[in-house]
Amino acid sequence: MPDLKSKIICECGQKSIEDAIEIFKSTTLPYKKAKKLVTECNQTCCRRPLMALFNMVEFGEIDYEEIAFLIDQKNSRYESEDDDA
Amino acid sequence: MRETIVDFAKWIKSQGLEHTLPKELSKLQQLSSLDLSRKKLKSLPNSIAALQNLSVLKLSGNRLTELPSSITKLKHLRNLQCENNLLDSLPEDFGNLQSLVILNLNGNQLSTLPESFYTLENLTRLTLAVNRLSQLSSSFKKLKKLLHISLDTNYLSALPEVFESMQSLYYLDLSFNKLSSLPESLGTIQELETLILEGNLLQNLPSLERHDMLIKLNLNSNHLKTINFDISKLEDLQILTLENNLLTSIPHEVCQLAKLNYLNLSANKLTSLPACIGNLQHLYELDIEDNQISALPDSITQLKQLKTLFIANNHNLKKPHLPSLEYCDIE
Repeated sequence: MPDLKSKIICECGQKSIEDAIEIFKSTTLPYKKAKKLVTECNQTCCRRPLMALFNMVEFGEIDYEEIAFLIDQKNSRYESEDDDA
Repeated sequence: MRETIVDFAKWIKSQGLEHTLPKELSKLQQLSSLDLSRKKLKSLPNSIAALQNLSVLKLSGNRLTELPSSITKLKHLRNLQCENNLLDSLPEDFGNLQSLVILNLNGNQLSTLPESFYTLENLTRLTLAVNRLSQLSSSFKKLKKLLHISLDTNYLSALPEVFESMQSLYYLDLSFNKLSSLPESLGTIQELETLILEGNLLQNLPSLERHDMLIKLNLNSNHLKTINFDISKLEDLQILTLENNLLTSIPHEVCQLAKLNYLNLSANKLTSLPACIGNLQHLYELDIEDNQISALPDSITQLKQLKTLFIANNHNLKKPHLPSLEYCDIE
């Protein structure tokens, strides 16, 4: 589990899952604004893992394996796009 | 068939799932709903075809790389949930699942669909988000009963003219693709209520004026410089989001959207808002953060329902006096 907590959730902002959880816990802003505190950008990057994590924080229970799967899924898509290019 | 159900029962035991399913073979064979979500499954046995009464099959959150071809023998299957797996293809005769009404294949690695897929004419809800589809066949138009389509987060750079036959479609999500234009037939969907086009490469819009039943329109993160259609024709619109485009102005026709309650114009290049913005009497959230606006129109004080206002990162905007306001990002 500690390994999963330190997994980088988004290249933009370079925050870990654990960092992102703390950021989401410490704000009352809606997702569209809270997300920018993690990514430090205006882009719609890393949407699936970030949105899922935001909802889990709201709900009060984090499924780290699910978030890690969504991060891997996102990274695998990026790699595939690079291959296409 | 008896041997097959025995095989399936053996497989269940081998996966340690015997406590979640009926032990008696006859009851197992009569199952109409089977939930195998999040069981860390890497494959399914061909013997699943023994469950001939299956109507609902949930396989989401596993590590399946393929579905057994025998799955297409489940003639009564109406709802197949297979989200977040690792499927990179579907069985060639997938179209044999003629009873399918709901199909969820979000979050897989599909780059193509078999031609038989387009014979699933009873589908009403199809979600294929987060896959690797780069094109759709024109045969997609055969899926005339669709009410809900999600194709977001794929690699679609163009769409064929397939929507004319889908007159009951009310939800269409094409976000996070590579679309630089939209098919003309999109304008013919009579019942469309939600249209999500976020994260594409759209520079201009075909006439969306015909969508007079549209309730939600999301055009975030495109390359729009102007709104080049009469947006006031979208008379039922309640939610309009245009975040992260290249807009330098907003047409005053937006003020005629009498039902609008949410307007997001953040991260554009706006220098002002329409003077008539106060006409939006149902607006409860306005987001104009990250623009170049130096003054709010006087009419903003007429927004009697406004509860949430984002105005940060403009040119020294001040929080307006509005009794209804519960949150503003500038004090």
